[in-house]
Amino acid sequence: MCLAIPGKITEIYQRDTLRMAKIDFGGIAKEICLAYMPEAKVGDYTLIHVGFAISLMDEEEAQETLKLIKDIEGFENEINTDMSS
Amino acid sequence: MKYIDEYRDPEKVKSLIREIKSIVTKNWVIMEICGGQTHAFLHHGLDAMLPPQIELVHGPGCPICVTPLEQIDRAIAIASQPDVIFTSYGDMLRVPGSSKDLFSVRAKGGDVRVVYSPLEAVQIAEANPDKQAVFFAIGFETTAPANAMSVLQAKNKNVKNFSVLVSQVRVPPAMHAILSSKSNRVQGFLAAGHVCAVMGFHEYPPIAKKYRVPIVVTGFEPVDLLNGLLYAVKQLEAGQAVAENQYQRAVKFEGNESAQRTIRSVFESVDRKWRGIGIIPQSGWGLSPEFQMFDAEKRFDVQNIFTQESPLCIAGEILQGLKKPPQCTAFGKQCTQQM
Amino acid sequence: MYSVWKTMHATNVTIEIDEQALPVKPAVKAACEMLGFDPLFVANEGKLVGFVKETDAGKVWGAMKRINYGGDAAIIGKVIGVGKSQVRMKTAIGGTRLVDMLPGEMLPRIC
Repeated sequence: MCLAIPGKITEIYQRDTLRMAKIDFGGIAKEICLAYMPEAKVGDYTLIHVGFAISLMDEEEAQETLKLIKDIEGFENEINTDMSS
Repeated sequence: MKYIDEYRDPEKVKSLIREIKSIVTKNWVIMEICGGQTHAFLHHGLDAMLPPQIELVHGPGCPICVTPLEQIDRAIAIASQPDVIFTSYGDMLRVPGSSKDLFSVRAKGGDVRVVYSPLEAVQIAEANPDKQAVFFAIGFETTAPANAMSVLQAKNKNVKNFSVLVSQVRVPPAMHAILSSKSNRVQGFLAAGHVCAVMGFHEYPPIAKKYRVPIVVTGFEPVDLLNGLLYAVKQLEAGQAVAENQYQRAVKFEGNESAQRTIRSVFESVDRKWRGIGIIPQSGWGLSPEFQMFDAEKRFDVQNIFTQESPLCIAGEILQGLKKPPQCTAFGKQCTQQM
Repeated sequence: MYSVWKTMHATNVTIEIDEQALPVKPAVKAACEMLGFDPLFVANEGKLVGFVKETDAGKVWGAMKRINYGGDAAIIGKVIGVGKSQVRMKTAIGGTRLVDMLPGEMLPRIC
């Protein structure tokens, strides 16, 4: 149910009473609808499903998730170092 | 691609698999709800990398697969009528009804068009005022905001030749149906991250508590899926059963309230038939009274199409994780991808 | 992909493709992600798929790179077994998956 991609907002404008945006995803430009993201601004990354932004990507949370996984990698490296020494 | 590439890092994948292997001590049956998650597990070859103690069962979170035969037959009946432009998301075109699919309607001259966004369907209606433009509004909660907006736009712009054939379904009632079945084997869930981006995940703590199953809101990239599995296995090994969120960069507890408001305005809760499973009460959305004039089922008088599924079909048991496809006697024979 | 698959069936071999070696243009990759397409099955005419001896692979690749249209030439996989018709892919994250031919037109996915 859930093919959605994180696109960067490059432009915001109004069309037919709807708040629309151009997003950049990996070099592709696409028009999407921002009706459900009134707080989104140019430069934000937003999750897009069937042409609609449904969520803002939270950079801090993204970094936190990656850090937790890095901690797992770091812990494993420590164990491997202890075991080989 | 930001927010994608870093979650496909092979080193992180290896670390997470090692971590899961190091903590798992028993066999566990875990269901990933979303068809997109199933696709990702298989596309990246992740499923074969998991420790043997973890059995992944693929859940009913694919709106294409759970759309009942009746609804497809109704779509075909509408699309076959002259002066109808039938619009749909791409993946519905190949799904067979009782005797044919939307592709074959197109091959016989029917005007069947694939759209990326439901707003395109409204534009098609505006551009063709002498025809009826119908949009096949299928999907789970992730797609509901987009589907709802097409109806809202049609109302606001007075696009009278637009209508929707609705087949919206919801995840939590499906989880209740699976978990309350006497033959349920599922011990933990990876919940659909993008459904939760829209709806939040406040409906899950009561489910986790009632059925004593961990539920982890999970994303779709390999690192997300393994991270979600790790959280689920940790809970199972510790005897815990709570709802937690792995997909924090995209999902908030309350979800997208603006989208939820529009959904509540355009749709109302209805009983829905799930292919192979049957009717699950209050498991779907239909048009609310204010928007009933856009209901294609009424406009084209197809409400009285009732269809019998093949007695060979065990799709329902497969979608609930009770059986696997090779256990179906028709798998690869009467029922193939080419159908 | 079609040529690889046809070769596999004609010669009864197992072929393993390396996903990381596939020369997919970034814009194509992005478009495929957006629509739920698999780049393996996107129409891609005017390409040469060559099967050569392992000892010649480097030389042939070098020769292809030197001609006008060969700039993106790449060694994308190898025949790893005989007697079983199969195409596999070593995925970028280190997994393996079977690759089968698409039955019909590729359609944009929402799921």
